[in-house]
Amino acid sequence: MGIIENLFIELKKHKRRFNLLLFPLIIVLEIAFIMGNYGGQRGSADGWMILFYIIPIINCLFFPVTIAGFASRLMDIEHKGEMLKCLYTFTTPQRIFFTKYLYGAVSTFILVVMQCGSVILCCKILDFDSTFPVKYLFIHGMTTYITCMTLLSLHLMLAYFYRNQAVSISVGILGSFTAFFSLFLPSTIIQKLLPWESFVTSGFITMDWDRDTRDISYTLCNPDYTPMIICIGWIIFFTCITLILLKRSGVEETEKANNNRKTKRVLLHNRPVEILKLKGSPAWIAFFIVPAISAAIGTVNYLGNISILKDGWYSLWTQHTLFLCYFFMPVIIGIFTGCIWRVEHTGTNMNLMMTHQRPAMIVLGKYAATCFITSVSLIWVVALYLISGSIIHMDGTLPSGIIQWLIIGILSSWVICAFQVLVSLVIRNFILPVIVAFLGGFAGLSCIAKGAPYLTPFSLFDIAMNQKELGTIDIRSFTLSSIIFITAFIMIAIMYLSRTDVRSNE
Amino acid sequence: MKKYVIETYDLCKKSGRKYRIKDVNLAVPKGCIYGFLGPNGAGKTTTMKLLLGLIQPDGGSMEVLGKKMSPKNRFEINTKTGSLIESPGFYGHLTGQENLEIIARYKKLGASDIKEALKTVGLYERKDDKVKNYSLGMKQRLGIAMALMGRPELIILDEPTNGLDPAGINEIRNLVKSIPERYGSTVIISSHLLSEVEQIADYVGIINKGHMIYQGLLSELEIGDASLEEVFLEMTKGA
Repeated sequence: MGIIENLFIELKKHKRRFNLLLFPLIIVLEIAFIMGNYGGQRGSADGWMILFYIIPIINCLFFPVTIAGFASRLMDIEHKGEMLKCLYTFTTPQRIFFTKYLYGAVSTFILVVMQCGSVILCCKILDFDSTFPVKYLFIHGMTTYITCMTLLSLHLMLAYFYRNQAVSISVGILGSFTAFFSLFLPSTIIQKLLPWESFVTSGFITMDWDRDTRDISYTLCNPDYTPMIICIGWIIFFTCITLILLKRSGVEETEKANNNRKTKRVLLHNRPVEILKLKGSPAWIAFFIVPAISAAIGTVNYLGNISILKDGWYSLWTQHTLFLCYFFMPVIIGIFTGCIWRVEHTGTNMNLMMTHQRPAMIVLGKYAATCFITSVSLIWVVALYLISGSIIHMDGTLPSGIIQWLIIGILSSWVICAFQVLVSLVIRNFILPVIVAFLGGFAGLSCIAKGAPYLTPFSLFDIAMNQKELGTIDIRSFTLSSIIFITAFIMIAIMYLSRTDVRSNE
Repeated sequence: MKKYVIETYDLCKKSGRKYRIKDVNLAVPKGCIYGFLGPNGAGKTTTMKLLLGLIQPDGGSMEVLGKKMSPKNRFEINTKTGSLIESPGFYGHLTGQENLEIIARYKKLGASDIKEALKTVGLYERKDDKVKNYSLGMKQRLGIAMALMGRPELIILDEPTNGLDPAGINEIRNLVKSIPERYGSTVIISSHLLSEVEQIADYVGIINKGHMIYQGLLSELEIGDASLEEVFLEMTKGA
């Protein structure tokens, strides 16, 4: 049969790709996150409970993206070099898929081992009691592994059948956010059904927060294995779908010559070139759907917590925009810039582009397209806010600063656009810039927490949209910082494009 | 009026420590068809990319259309050139016509130019099909159409007949032959097919392992009864 032999071939294929580096990176980030939050609570007796409580929640945010990125990297090498055509001639689709799956399973196992190691390491660093029963470490490892494998089954399938990597990473990011947000909702069976969420739902530590004394206590309860059983169900389900799809699969010969729409004359389009290049691409849809999801969750959350959120329209605005600004917006901008550069990074299109246009105009064209769609999206956010506010019959008057928020919000979103345009230009891979944007959202948040909101593009945006929560800004330093950032990023992008050798995928 | 459209002086390009091309001195006279010959991996594409400013040289300099090539001048020179480098670039999700439209926008041309380009390479019937559904030869034709659009002064074609059928090769050969007369342009065409260059070029440059080994009139190269093929094999042997 030789699946082991195939696994070794697979290992050879990934030589010099440093796939596994992604894992230590994520683990280090998680440790840094825990350090940042719990560094002060030394010597706490039930410290290990804190770890087992917080790690699944962080996992729920980071791991889906990691797994999605990893899965699409596994498949990307085959799609990029058109290798599937060749591979199909000497092996079966099933074998190709399951070899990759096995490789993924082994790698995921390494990830989980690293995570368990990081738990012990955190205990040591934070001076927590590390003599907790090993049983819990084992349970934690097992639940994490099963959840990761569920995600791997889904993402490897997506990466295998869609050449466009945006599909896999979008599902990953959407899943991770849905899971994260629904943690704030009352727990129901639905949460257990979501594979992304079983990191948390299968946890065995619960936290109680006393509203009056502000005391946090952790309790140990019996692990809930239902999410695991559901996850295994998901794995079987995904595998079945994959098997069916593999059976039907051939090297894509889709929509060959199905175009009956013949025109007699040569008719020109009116839209700008950059927009024309995106024809038929769904990249822009996220800019409208994601704010809608965010608004829906925000409104539900507002209604659920109406007893503590007493500021009326202000509170609703916070609920609507808080997470959108921290996490969603940077990521969608990242995906969009990824899409607009991807058309140039494929094949020899960069040669074509560079012989027809000034580098400055190329960068500015892309930048203008990104800024345009982002601005429209932010206006849409405000529109959604007004609509949902009137649907739930909000009392009181509108916040007076809303127009100002919108204007400086748009200005600061242009900073993120400039940053992502640069990152996606330099990093030709589709996934990495999106992960950079994802992490940037967190970096921005911690910059604000440390009292330095003008230091990163992401924190500028956060603070602009959420002044009520995060403190008022100094318009002058805000504008200055934004303009410096935009100029710097765009200049670097133009310099990069005009000075470095044009690389094409040959 | 300048006699040469392209002159290079000791052009070098390294990749890592190794030279991909070393001390290449090209001189391409105006209005000719210049055949650029060499085996696979000899440095033809690298030289052509340098001529378009797509990559920066590690040594030497060059003048293209009377201007010194530099990142600053690159665009100005390229507005007067048309090129097809490596395999053709295209946006697969757009139709052939839309692809040409994007080029036309950049070159500030109109619908009539697009139509002319489509007709010239014989793609008019398939203009509304997505390019990703084109065959290899059709993509190649589209690439040639992009290079010819706007009647540039200098046309650089890197192995333009790749993937074409014999009839297509013949057709493109005749097309290239007619360019200097029709547009008044200079054409540089690279190939490893000697027979092809033999039939259309006035001048030839032969490159092997990054070094120029011959440059001059095709008629002066063919010594006695030996064909270009034999001369070429002799020159590149062991070198």
